[in-house]
Amino acid sequence: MSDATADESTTHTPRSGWEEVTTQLRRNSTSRWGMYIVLFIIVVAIWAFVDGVVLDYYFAERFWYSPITAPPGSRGLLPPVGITNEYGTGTWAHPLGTDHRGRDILVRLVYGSRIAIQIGIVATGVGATLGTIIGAVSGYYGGWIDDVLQRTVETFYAIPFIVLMIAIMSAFGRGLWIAIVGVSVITTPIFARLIRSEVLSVREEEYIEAAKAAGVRDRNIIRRHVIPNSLAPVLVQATLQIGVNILIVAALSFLGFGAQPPTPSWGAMLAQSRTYMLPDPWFSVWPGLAILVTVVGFNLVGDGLRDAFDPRLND
Amino acid sequence: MSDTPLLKVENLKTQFFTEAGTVQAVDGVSFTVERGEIVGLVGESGAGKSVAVRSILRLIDSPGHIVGGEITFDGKTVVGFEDEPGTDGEPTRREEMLTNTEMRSQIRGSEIALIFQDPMESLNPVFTVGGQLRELIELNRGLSKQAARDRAIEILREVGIPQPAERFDDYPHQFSGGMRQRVLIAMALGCEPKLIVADEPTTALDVTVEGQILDLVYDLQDKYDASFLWVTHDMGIVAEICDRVNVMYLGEVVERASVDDLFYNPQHPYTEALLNSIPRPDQSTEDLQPLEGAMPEPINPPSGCRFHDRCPEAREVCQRTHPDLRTVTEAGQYAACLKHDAFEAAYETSRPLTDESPAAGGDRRE
Repeated sequence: MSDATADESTTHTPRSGWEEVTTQLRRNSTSRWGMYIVLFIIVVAIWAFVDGVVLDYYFAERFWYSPITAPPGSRGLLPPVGITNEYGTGTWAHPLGTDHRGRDILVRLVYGSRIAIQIGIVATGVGATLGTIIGAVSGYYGGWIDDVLQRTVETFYAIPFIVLMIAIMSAFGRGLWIAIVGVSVITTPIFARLIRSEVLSVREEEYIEAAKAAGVRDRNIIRRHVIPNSLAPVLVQATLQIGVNILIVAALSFLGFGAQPPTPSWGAMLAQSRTYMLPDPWFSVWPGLAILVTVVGFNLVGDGLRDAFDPRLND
Repeated sequence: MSDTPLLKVENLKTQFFTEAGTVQAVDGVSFTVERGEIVGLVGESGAGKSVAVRSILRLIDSPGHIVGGEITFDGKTVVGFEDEPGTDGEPTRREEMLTNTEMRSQIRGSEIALIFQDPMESLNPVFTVGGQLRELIELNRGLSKQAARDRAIEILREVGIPQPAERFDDYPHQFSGGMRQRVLIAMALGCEPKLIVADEPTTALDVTVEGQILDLVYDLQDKYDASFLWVTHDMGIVAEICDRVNVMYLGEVVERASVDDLFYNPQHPYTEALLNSIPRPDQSTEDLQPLEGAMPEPINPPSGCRFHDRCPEAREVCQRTHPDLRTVTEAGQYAACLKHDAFEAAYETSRPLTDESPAAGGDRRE
């Protein structure tokens, strides 16, 4: 085929790398299930945010139950539908049962998703963004800039994250936003180190030298050439990291940090259920299951992304 | 102004300070490029051609450093050092030497463009071809987004991309190698630089595409009135497009001549050897004579003439005396070889080295 006439007759739609990746994601059935789970939980969490934070549980209290206070006359520790214990028989009014204070568990699970997703996504996003910038600058320039940034990052990396989180929250307070900042801080080094290793190979590419030869500024080279070409492993890691961060948030709530009662959160629900675990195990099972499904969902998407970005697995 | 060359490189020295020692990749190279001229820079792999052209743009990365010489481009001092080294023994930059920022904003891309060897690797794979071209024009020429886009499509058409408006939004991997090289030429032309440095731009392409690209360059050079510095190891390309040629060997220019003089009357044995190693339509020979041996390491160059251990005409004096580049013919051809009278080096009376030379040993092995 001669060069000048190549593709002359074909009409084509350009397909970006991103479309390529999403096609791959949809084609893989496990990652497709992961996407369904993640989308479902995100939709639920958005609803929980709108109604819980913006409208102050307006819809929940009018049409369902309040996740904060028990409805008058309700009994605590009711079992799920079809099970009977000493407090009564489970009914469809409280399909998953009630907690020790008589609040509906399902409504608390729904409104508790907000904390998990909010910290999971916001903290991972902040950590990934910061880490990407630090790692890209560090890898691109090398030399003493690299040394200073990497040693700083490694210092944070070396401290066990739960200890670091507890230190941060003991110093600055136990609120939700402190938790987000803390999780961001412990997430940043992971991304800084990950992207740095990628940048070390990307910066040797000829298009980087071509950009330098064309007089492009360093910061534009990093922004337009280095980062976009190093981003694939970061996206994979970010998706997996959301799952990890949701676990961290749950662990913190379990220990009494993070969102404070009566705000519903999965970790806090687990902590409250400890006392009743042997007689009334469902109280612990539901929030545990919610955490499990969410984390598995994000992991499936992350694995799918990794495969989609791997050219050897694509046809 | 018009009688000063567009680019003047004088006694350029670029060295790499490695753990194994100092590599003298470019050691005292001088050449000029006049306005509207295509100048060739020819030599084997490792002769220092690429380092020399990257030095012109000051794109040498550590551990490499330009340690001496002077480069002026269009009245601006790209490289220039004080005669006296500074107190720390390092060469001191002259006042008028452009700062790194000035290099970036005034020279690179806008005044001197570089076309790379491998068109497959020189485009950013994550952005569209048109987007990259448009951005470059936007940055360097200060056009609006739409005007830059129109200009980009126009240039793509000029370099022979069919349906440039439709292909504007394609990604580099959707282009063939020849098409990508056309895009790179478009990117180089996009900012209308005065000088385009082409570092073996057709090496990665097959010969039919190479021919098309050379024709294209020839046409565009006329149209844009740009000068070219064309780096290659292919004498065929030199014959096809260059006006003047500099032949490099081991970090030095060993011969400089107009393209006709070089092909019909080479004055340096190295040039002769290069010409004998390729088939020529104007001469018929039984066998091609490949150049025996490999170029020595520039970390520890041979004494005397650097070519003497591979040179069929080497004599004892060549081991001792290092020739500089001098005028050797009345036509103004330059060569760095002691066999010419201009050197007064007692070459005629010196004993030939041919028998012990590795080149002769190579012959026997055949």
